[in-house]
Amino acid sequence: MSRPVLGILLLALAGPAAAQNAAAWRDSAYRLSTERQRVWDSLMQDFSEAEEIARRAGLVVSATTEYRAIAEDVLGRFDSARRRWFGPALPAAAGFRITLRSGESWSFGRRTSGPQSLSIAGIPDTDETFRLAPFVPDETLGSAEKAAQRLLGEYGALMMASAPAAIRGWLRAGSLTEFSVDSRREGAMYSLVTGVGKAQRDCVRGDSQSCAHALGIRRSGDPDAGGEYYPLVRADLLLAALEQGGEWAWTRLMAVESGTVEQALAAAAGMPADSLLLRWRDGLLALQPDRGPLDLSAAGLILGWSALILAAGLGIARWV
Amino acid sequence: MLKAMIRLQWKGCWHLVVALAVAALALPIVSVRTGWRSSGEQLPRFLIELQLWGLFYPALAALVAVTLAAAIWASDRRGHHIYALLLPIPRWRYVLLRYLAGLVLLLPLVLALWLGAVIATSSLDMPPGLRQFPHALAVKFGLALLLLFGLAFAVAAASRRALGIGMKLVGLFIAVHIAVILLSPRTNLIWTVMTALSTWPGPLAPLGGRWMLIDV
Repeated sequence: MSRPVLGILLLALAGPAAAQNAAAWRDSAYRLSTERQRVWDSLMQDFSEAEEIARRAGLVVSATTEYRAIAEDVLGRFDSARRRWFGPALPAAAGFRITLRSGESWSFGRRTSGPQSLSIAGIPDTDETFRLAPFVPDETLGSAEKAAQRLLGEYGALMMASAPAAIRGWLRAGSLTEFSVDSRREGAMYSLVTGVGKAQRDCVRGDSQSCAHALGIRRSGDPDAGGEYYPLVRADLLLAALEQGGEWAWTRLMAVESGTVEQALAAAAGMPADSLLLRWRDGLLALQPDRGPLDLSAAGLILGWSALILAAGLGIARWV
Repeated sequence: MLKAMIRLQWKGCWHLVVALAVAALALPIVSVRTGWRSSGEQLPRFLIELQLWGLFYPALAALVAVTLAAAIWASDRRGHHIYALLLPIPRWRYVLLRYLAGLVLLLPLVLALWLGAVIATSSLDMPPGLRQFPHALAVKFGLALLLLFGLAFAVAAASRRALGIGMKLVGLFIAVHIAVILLSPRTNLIWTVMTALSTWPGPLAPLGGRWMLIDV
């Protein structure tokens, strides 16, 4: 039979087809999604070897074999650090859970240990809890300080997610506590003193209005004011306000839901915004090194070694 | 006698001193002007570039020290120290005179660097938070010169026999290091010695740190 005839016959014999039932597809997709979520929750919530190590003021730390030795230390460091800025506040009423995970260890083609984890949870750790479970390098979990810093960074991201919209928009950064205190403060100090704009220079000279402009808190209206500081500097100001405000600073900040950034910072710090800015500026300028390329001890050391080398040179110099 | 020694050494080394003085004068000017032209609006980047340029200061000090120490003793080596042996003064006094005359030759270099640093930092529109250290940098350079010149001078003043003994000791140390590293791979003697020399209170420790003409 020729192709055209076959085609005509098929068209003629075609009839209406039954409509496809989308519900079956939808149910299947839903079941797969639920199953995936169940496996994910299982992964987030529990490593088979993880045991609870310690509890402290509404926090629980658990760890697998390799990290049990540092777990309690990590909990202590984490709790002290987060209370400094956030007090007893949690990201949500349902608590939180952060699990740092490291992969398997291999040596010369042999698997020496399975995946390891260290978790900190804020009670109650329910099914609706915020959960984070980043993979980290082994060296992060090798030291209590680094592990606590990483946990604090993730915790800061969780807290920021629940902060007022004005603060989130102003900060433009994922986490407040991503960096250690020293490196953050040093970075902020560098940004403060190396600002080239007019407002930035006037801020260093002590003009709080210029500081407010350079930090994006309050516009000065001066067209020549220049640019603003980086988000790291804003994060440093916010943390300074929280630290200044004491244990309930974060709670007061959260209470300013629809206010401006200036109002939120003033509420957190418990003082007018201008006073906060000047105090913050003074704190950063105090971090400037108090000496230049040379110090007296180095000069003394050089003179001492020079005298020693000269004496040795006079002693070993021979003609033949 | 010191004046005579200075005149003698100046006659032999003046061309080196002038060339090195030009380098010392130019270094701070080039480092600041180059960085300022390319990164003047981004001061953190400017400071990082300045910090990299800062590596040239101890390098220049080492170059000056080795060059002048070798040049100071060149005439004595050529004449097999016969002239020095004929002089009616003790050996140690002769070496000391050479050393002091050498120090006098270093002064123009330190002054050149100081002048270059002052010129480099003048007429720069710096933000109020940044500070300039032309004088401190020049003093640090001078002290680094003093230390490195002393080291190079001691080596240059040594006899062939003393240098031969020194090379043998270095060779023996390397052989011991290799033997130790074969027996215990985690033990690195060379690294240990380098760390001891370059950390406090080792002689090379003050040469580190920040050689920043402009800093926070």
